[in-house]
Amino acid sequence: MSPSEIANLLRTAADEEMTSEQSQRLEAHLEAHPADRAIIDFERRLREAVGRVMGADEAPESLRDEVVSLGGARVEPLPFETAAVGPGAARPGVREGRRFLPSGLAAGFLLLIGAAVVISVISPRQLFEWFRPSQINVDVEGVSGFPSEHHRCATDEQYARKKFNIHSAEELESHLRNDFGWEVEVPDLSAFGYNLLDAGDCTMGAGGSGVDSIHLRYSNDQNVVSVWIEHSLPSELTHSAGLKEGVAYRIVPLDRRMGRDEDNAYFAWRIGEYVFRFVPASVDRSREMAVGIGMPDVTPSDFN
Amino acid sequence: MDRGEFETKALEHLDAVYRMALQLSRRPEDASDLVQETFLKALRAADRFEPKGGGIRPWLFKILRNVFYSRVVKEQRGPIASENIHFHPSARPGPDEASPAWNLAALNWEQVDDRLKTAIYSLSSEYREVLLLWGVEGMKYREIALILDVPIGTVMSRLFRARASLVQELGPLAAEVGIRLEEGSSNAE
Repeated sequence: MSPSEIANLLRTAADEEMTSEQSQRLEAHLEAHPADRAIIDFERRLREAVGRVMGADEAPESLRDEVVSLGGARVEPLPFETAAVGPGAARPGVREGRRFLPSGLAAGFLLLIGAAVVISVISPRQLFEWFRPSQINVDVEGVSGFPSEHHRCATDEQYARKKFNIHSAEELESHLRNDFGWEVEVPDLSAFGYNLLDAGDCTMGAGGSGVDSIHLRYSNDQNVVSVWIEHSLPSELTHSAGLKEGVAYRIVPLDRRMGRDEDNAYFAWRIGEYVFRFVPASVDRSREMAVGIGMPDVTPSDFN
Repeated sequence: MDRGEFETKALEHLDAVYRMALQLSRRPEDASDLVQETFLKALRAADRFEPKGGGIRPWLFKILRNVFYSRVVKEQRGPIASENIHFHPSARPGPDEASPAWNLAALNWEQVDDRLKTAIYSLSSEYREVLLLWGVEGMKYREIALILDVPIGTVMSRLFRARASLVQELGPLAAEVGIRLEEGSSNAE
């Protein structure tokens, strides 16, 4: 064994993570080098010391109070689906929710009066259109900027489990089925003149809570559009925007410093267990293309 | 699991989530902010939580990491430089380098803490988080891999690098207390 192999074997032994084969190798090594038992002991004591040092911190009481107060009114669905979501927006919004909670009855009364006025001046059809919950604008802070993440997945080995070396829908479907257990039909944009350029998957240790996501790029020789598929349960959008099935979303990343990032806006929707993102939302016919691959249909003005 | 039960169980892990947030962000105020957002998202998604894959704590850790690294990505796009979350292997001993061997009999571990704390905080967040899950949470490689969503080999690699780095930092202390550091006593066989 090389010194590095010995070192790793001793650490693995200290962590009690050895396989039976490693145990045999360790036994043989310690017979020849009994003094190395001290290294195992050292590694164990180092672990205890790390636990002691890093485990000393406790959450401040004020934080505990804040978190406790997140219950009840704070975790109810957002009053308006168009509300901003995220670290910069969540807490102020929550505080408002609590402040206005006692006056809920008054607000409801005013709402009834307002509704009566609206109904008296518009047609029932218009009213239905206004309340049709089929499209939602959401400013979301904390979601990944698609282009940067895509670049990261394509170039950083740490994140890309399988590089962007898939070039056919059949190959991708096979990969998803065999490696992820996903039964997903690969979106087809050929009707819009866009063909699959390449695809790959990405383990988003950064920016996606460890989401296994699939990135697909399509090209019409002039523009490139992308589709991002991920499982809904760990998807950051599930947590950030509460994605509901049957609803089309236009996600505008919200940055605390830079404000709304319209340039990186994208469409998102959920089908069953999967979340789809279509990028960008600004290319001509983007909306039609997104609808063509499964996004709930909406009128162009719905997102304006 | 109803929401009340979920809230109760989630709050049991507040300290653990805060510790992880502190290791990721380094700043108490940022850690508190991260924790609040983590719990807010967790509570909003409580009805979708399924108590499998290790329970609530790993799930909270995953949400926390999502929140933190999403912010890092955002900040890297902004005008203000953020901490470089990536480790530079050239600056630290790699996993292929042998751990130094120690004569440990005389080491006073109580004296180690301050030096160790400094050494830990000199590591990047990727290494601090794996150290925390290993040292404080007592997790197995497999459990850590699930939370970080990386292969077990990556967990071992990060952990071994981090430990090797800590040992290097503790070297001067060992010398101060008269401990002999025997470089490479584990000779190749």
